[in-house]
Amino acid sequence: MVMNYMLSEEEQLLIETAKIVANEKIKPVRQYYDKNEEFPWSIINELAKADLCGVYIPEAYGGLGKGIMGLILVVEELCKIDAGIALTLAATALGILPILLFGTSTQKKKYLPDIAAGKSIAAFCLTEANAGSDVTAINTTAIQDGDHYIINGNKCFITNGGEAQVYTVFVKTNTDKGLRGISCFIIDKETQGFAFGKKEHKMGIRASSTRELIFNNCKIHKDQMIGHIGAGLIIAQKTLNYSRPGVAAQALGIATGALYEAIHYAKKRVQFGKSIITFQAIQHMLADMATEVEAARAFLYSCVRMIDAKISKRISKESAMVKLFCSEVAMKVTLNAVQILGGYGYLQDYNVEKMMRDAKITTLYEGTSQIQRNEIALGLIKETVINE
Amino acid sequence: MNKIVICIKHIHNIGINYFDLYALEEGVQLKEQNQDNSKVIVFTMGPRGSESTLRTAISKGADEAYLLTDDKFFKGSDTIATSYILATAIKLLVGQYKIIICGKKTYDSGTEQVGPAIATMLNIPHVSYVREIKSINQRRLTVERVVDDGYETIRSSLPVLLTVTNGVHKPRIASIKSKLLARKANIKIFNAYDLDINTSKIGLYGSPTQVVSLYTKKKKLKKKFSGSARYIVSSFIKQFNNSI
Repeated sequence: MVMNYMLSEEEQLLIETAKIVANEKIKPVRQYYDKNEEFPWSIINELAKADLCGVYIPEAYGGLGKGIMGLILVVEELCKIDAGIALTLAATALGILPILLFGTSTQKKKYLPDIAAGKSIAAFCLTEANAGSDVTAINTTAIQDGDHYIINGNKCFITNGGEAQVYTVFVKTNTDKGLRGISCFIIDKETQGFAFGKKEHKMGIRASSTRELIFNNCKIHKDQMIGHIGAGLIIAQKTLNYSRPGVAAQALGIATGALYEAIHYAKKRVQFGKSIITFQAIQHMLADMATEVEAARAFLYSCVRMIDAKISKRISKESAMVKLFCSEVAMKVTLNAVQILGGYGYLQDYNVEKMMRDAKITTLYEGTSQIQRNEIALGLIKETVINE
Repeated sequence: MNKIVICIKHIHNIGINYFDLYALEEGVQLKEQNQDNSKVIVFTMGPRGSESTLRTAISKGADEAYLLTDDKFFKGSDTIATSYILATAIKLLVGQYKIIICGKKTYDSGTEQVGPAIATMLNIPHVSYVREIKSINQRRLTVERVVDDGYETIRSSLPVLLTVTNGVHKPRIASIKSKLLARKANIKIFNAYDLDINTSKIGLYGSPTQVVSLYTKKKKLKKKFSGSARYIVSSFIKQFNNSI
């Protein structure tokens, strides 16, 4: 927490502002939103008022132009207090990234300013009941009809589903072309033939909405396509390369929050006539937790600096590594935080219980830890081919 | 144009004085409610380092900021001298104003005197411990102030000086864009010479009261009692009787 990463003054300003909003606005209501599984619109409004919604969006579109670094600093800071509420912001970034990275200037002008201003939020829609890690198995189709496409099928587990105004949806435009048969469309919430299904009840990140999307002869103009026809898979992969550090930042924030709770509890908790932080067993646990958290942070920041510098097109391996590492650290650290709090840690009255539940998702979504390892291994194989 | 004047204090190592945030918020809300190009003008008297507090005020909605600073002549000013400097500056630099708002007290010295003294020197009415401005027009306002066992509603003519408590309007969180703009904002700096002030009324010599020494209160040694409840109580009473 005192390690210095030479952040710029403006980056420190982002952190400082996110910290104020997290402590003043989110902390008092985090248990309420977790318990009631209510979508935190009032908090999104606060984030918008503080200019935190568009930190990664270029200034030309009303954002602050602080890149993925800006995004991860804000997400980390918010997740120290509550990952469920912060996810609305991170998932919006994921949902809007296909437009940011591959959209036409007309599409950017139409969608980015409202996202930057916090007037609308977005959702990334890839997963289907039978297509999780295996993207190519998606069944939702888009059939061309003159200047339009007719979309049919269902998406599931969509973060911000039902609440977002903008959906970037991956569909099959050609069922015979496999990997090259996938395309990506921007679909507005109010579009006819687009409806919402079941809302999921989750272990953690319960303030975030996770819903099924139903497309029933949903008619979309061809101008709503992102990139060219058949580019969907590449768009999805590149988007995930940029968004995985965001998941890593959630994980890092949760881990940091849990570490903080554990230290403070260990100082206060007296057993055998002493505060338990004087016991070496506790000290060593805290030391390992702190070391892992700091290593995760150093890895994440340097990885994101590299991504923002745009010095390399190949970032999928590093982006997978950092997501894998940070999420695994979050799971370990939150488990140990609960362990240090003992029975109290298992109670909902103490924050580490929620942090442990929230941490788990970071090892699952945007690719499980196992999928990240596949990605890393693939990167290793490709790299060595190029070098040889 | 309606000018709303806010007097704030910079506290070393802390920044803007807590109650001054409420004074500022009340002023900025007044400006936002009246769409008649009102302007919020903040003043502070203090060392050069007080500039950061003025930038905080700008990031939270103030339009103009004045720093009254003079190492030679302002140093050692007590509440009367400070009020004199602020009143002189307001008279000279603002002229006509609708309202002056101050925090009810400062966090460090906490005399609660500067606000009312400024009003006296400017020859305008003042209302202290205000928690909310209920209504305001061009000629008068109605406020609710906190008294010992409840609230009092007061009507006053304008201009008026209010000192406010942590009232109904919670201070806003400055947005990132406003903080970035505040960093570049022009802070107007005035010294004793610029204000053409009577130096016999300010600083150490112009202050009827002077701080002779300042120290942190030492904590008395705490004694720990342990054992049975009966033993703890009896030994505590014994100790207590001995100490008084």
